[in-house]
Amino acid sequence: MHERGVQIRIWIVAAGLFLALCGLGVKLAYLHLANHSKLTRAYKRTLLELRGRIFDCNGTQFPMAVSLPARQFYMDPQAVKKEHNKRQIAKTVADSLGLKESDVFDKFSQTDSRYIKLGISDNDRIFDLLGDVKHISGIGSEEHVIRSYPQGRRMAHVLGFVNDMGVGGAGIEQQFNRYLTGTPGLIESEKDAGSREIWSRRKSFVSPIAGSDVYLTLDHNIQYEVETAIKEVVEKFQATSGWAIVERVKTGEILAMASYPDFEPGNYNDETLDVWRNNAIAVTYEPGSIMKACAVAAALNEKVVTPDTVIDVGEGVWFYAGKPLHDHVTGRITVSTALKKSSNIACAKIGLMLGEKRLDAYLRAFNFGGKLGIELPGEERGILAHVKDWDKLKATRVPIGQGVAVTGLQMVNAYSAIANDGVLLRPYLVDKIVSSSGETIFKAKPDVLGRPVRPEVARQVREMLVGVTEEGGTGKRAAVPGYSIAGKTGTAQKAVPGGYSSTDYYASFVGFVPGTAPVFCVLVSVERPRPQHMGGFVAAPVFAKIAATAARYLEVPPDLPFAEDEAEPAQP
Amino acid sequence: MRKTLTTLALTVVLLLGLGIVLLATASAVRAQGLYADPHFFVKRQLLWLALSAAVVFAVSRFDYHWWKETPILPVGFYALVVIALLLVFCPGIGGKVKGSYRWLNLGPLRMQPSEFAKILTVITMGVWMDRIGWRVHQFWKGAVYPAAGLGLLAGLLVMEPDFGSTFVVAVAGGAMMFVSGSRFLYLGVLGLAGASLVGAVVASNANRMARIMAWMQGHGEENTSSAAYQLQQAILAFENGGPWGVGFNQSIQKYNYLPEAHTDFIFAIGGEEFGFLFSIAVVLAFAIILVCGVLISMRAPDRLGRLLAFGMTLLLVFQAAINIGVVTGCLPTKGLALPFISYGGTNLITALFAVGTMMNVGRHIDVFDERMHTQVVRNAAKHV
Repeated sequence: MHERGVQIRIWIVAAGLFLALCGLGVKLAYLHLANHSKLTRAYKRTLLELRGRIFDCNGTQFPMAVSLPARQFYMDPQAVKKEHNKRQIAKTVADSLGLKESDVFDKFSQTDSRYIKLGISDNDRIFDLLGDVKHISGIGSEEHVIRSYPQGRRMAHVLGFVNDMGVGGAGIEQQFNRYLTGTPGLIESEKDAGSREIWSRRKSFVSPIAGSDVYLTLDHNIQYEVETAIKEVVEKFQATSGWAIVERVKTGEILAMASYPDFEPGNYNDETLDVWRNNAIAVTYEPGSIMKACAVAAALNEKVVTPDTVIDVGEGVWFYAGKPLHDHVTGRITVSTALKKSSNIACAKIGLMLGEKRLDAYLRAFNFGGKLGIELPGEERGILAHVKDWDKLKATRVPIGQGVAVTGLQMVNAYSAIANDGVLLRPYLVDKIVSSSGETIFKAKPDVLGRPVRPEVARQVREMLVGVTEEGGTGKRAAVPGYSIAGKTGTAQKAVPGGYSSTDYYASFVGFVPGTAPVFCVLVSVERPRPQHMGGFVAAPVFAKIAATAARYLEVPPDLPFAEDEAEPAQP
Repeated sequence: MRKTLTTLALTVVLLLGLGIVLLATASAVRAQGLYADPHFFVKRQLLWLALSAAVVFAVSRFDYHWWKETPILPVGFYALVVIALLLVFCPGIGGKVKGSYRWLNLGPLRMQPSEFAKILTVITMGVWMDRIGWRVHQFWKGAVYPAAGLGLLAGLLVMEPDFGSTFVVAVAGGAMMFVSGSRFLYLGVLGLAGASLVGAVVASNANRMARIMAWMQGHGEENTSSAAYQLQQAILAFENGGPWGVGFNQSIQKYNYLPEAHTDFIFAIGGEEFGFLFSIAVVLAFAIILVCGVLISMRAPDRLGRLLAFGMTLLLVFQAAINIGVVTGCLPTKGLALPFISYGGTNLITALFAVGTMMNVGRHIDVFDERMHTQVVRNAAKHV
């Protein structure tokens, strides 16, 4: 073949190649230049924020509620390969997370799901153990935040709890959810084929902001004493429940608020709805005799009576409006004695002297029948019927705490007003809220709700109430060595449909320490104690226990000399 | 001719430079994942590049006439490659990687003998066709003998199996027979026979068949085969690149979305980062190589030079066209590298060997020394 022929054939092949290159050029132009939808490989990750902490009045030393970063472990049965030893994986996982080995092993067969929750742990060592992919397959973990209550059951009803969604479901956790909840952070980036973030492509990083910390006015030391005492009395008297409140009279700060039976905020699901209820603010009950002090204060303030006014109680039974009223006190007694001995007839007569309208007005001035605005969900307003709906009997029964229902908080607050020279304060239990950046966004101040009685009237009532715990009074078991105690016992039959229960009672004691210059006020109520049901027998000793500890803890100066035999602890 | 050679050299240097830059970005993710060193592949490729530079320097100065004047050279080369293609099956020195026997482990170096088989095809075919001259029309010398030599190589390559290289070797050998003047009838019959033989082997290989089926089905989203996935990701890369590209090191597809992002599919990453501008420039560069190669071939002083220059040009451009065709979804997936740009030492060395040979032929064009002159006259005399 001639060289010319070879050249022509080379041209032919080259032309073919050239055409192929042109074709590729056209294809490339189409791929690059035609309008295509944008390629998105966006990566977004939410960074979990920590919920704000809750502290008692001692500050950050004793956290009552904290949030901890943890990891939620889950299983993807489809990711477990044949060569892996399922038994061994199940054992490791079960040991690490405190589960049953057989339960974990059974989950391997649930191949229809790729996400089976195993458990939550904040233990770094466990994470290392389970993160070892050489031995562990099909086990993954993701960020999680757990709510922890380092003090266990302490303040359970006040703190409340946080549900699985991270939202407060009761107590402070619910009421201050918006403050406690932080702001989640966000990473915006691009992801690789394994859906992992490409670090170098990170577009934005917004770090999470922890929620604000809530500082309570409660003191966990007093709270401990109160909770222990309430638990003891409820168990001792086989009562249904019991509650107690300690309030600082000069400010309205709640120092302790306890209710029993209680629950563990960290495992709130172990208990039922009625156990979660904070009885101290949510139980509406007829107070009984502890109401008498308010009625007497009203009568004194209206100058209807003086402490020395003599009232004829008769022979222990008094018929009014066709109904008998029984009394264990007889004869002619002063108003002071009426309170000291807790005379029903005397107080009923004082109620009549005062009249329905004034009685109603004073009780409302003490904030009965209305909410006090404590920073907790579920506060009840009590029951105080409108005065025009009162029947004839009501003016004789309300002064002795019947036909009117209150909450424990209302009662302790009313006594605090008497202790505080007649100035009614709003009770509160949140001292301050501090943001995660350290800024105080809320600081509580004492809030005056009103002045139901004059200072001198309050002082007169205090003096009468001191008599209750002295020899001859109904509340002598409430006495505390070294302190004068002003207080009042109360034993109320439980209202049931159609009348009153003859077996179920509310035994109460409310009072303040010291009686002459009060610092704090304590209410103790026990629901359905058995066999004894008298306030002076059931509730007064609890009061004494709480008052003695709290007075010493708060370094309240004793106003009475210690008697030798009382100062020494009794020898067994 | 000096201008042609300069253009060729510049184009190749440009492609090599582009290749290193592209490799640096395309291989970083994989290198980091495998060796915790994002520059692992770049460092290796630079070493190979240094070796290749020596090769291109040597080959362009090695007179190509030695290939025919010293028969032991092509014969020895052929024997070496055949032995190497057999050695890949030996455990120890060879071995199975990703389902095929392609690699020879020579101490620190790893080589693919199939790359040398391509060069060998061009050289031996050129020498043979130059030797038989006008007898190319004959049945045995012009068709059966060269086809048999080609068939042995192709057969060994199919055994590996390396269908891409088989295809390139067969097409390059066939094209050189065609250009040299083999009869159409013989070529057609032999080609058909070879094609059906390879076809039978392909059909018996499930993996290969699946790839072809995947390609036939198109690469729409409904096709979930791994080959189709690779193509889908490559095409996404081109689309994402747009006219100007997303910028150096800004490729998203290299983050393990596109398999083989630094070897066979590196062109797609280039298209993503540098856009249509890059893609068309590479195609243009190979077109320039084609034009330069054809010009050298046309003006070559003798038949051997003409055939060698043509064959080497064909190797480079044809492989490039196949690679780009695969990456853009025009052809079914084959394991073929893009010359000068894909990561791989043997590929780089043989590509530069080809360039060196082209340059070597080019350097003889304007040189009319006595020996050359005599040669030309002697050749001409053969055809009279």
